[in-house]
Amino acid sequence: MISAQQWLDVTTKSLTEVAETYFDVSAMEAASFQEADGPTCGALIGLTSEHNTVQLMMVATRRGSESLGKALLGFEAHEAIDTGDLADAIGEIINIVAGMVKTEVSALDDSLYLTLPTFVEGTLAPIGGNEILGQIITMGTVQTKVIVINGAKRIARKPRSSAA
Amino acid sequence: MKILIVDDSKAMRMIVKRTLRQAGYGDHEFAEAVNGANGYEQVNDWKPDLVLCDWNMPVMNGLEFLQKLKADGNGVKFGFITSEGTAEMRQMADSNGALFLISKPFTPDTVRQTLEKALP
Repeated sequence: MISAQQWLDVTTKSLTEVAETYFDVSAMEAASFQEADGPTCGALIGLTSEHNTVQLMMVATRRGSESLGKALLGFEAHEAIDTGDLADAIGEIINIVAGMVKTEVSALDDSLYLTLPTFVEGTLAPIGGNEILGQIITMGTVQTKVIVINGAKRIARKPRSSAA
Repeated sequence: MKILIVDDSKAMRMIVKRTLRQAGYGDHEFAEAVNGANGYEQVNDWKPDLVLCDWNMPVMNGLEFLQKLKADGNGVKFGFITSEGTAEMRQMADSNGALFLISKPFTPDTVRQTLEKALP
């Protein structure tokens, strides 16, 4: 079973590599991130197998996510980005990260299935029974928070059904 | 050279095009498709020289698209650009006739070196 800390470490490393590859800081609007700033905006994606189930999430403020989306799509800082393009761009970031994570942990679990990314916007709230870890990562000039929601302990606790 | 970029993400199609330009392929012709089925239509209509294709897509994924082309006897040069780069996927890509698999995130250097090797 892969621990929440292992997921967070691999996800942090992957997101940092994506940031270094795709974000030109000179063309980006800066945005800090604190949960007190209000509703968050980002994307989540799941990795599941018989032994592991985890959701990886990357969030920022709406302004921060827009800055990331515009940088990825090649928009000028003053140009507007609609929610469809924003969801596509932010979803693609977490999709790339999850693919890297899947490859990185394949020696520990080679049967992981990658779900499609989901765009999320709203207030973060803990989900009972899951182990949640987070870390602030700066992508270009935008502060984001990567969050790992690990449900593997719930799988481990689930009683196995007997064969008919 | 005519290059068809197949990816369900508009952001990724733009990144691939931008990276191709940065890698020195800016004077080539580009077209885009949003999934394997759309890519299949474009291969038959537009007749590209090279297909750069994502793996995980709705409607028809990249591997199904490649298998459909091979079943037709279509020999268009085909490479994957995908977020998953496990050894199993690389082996599957190779055994189905893909020339290469570039895993995301990729740099202009990675793309240039891969294309130079695959398309001498």
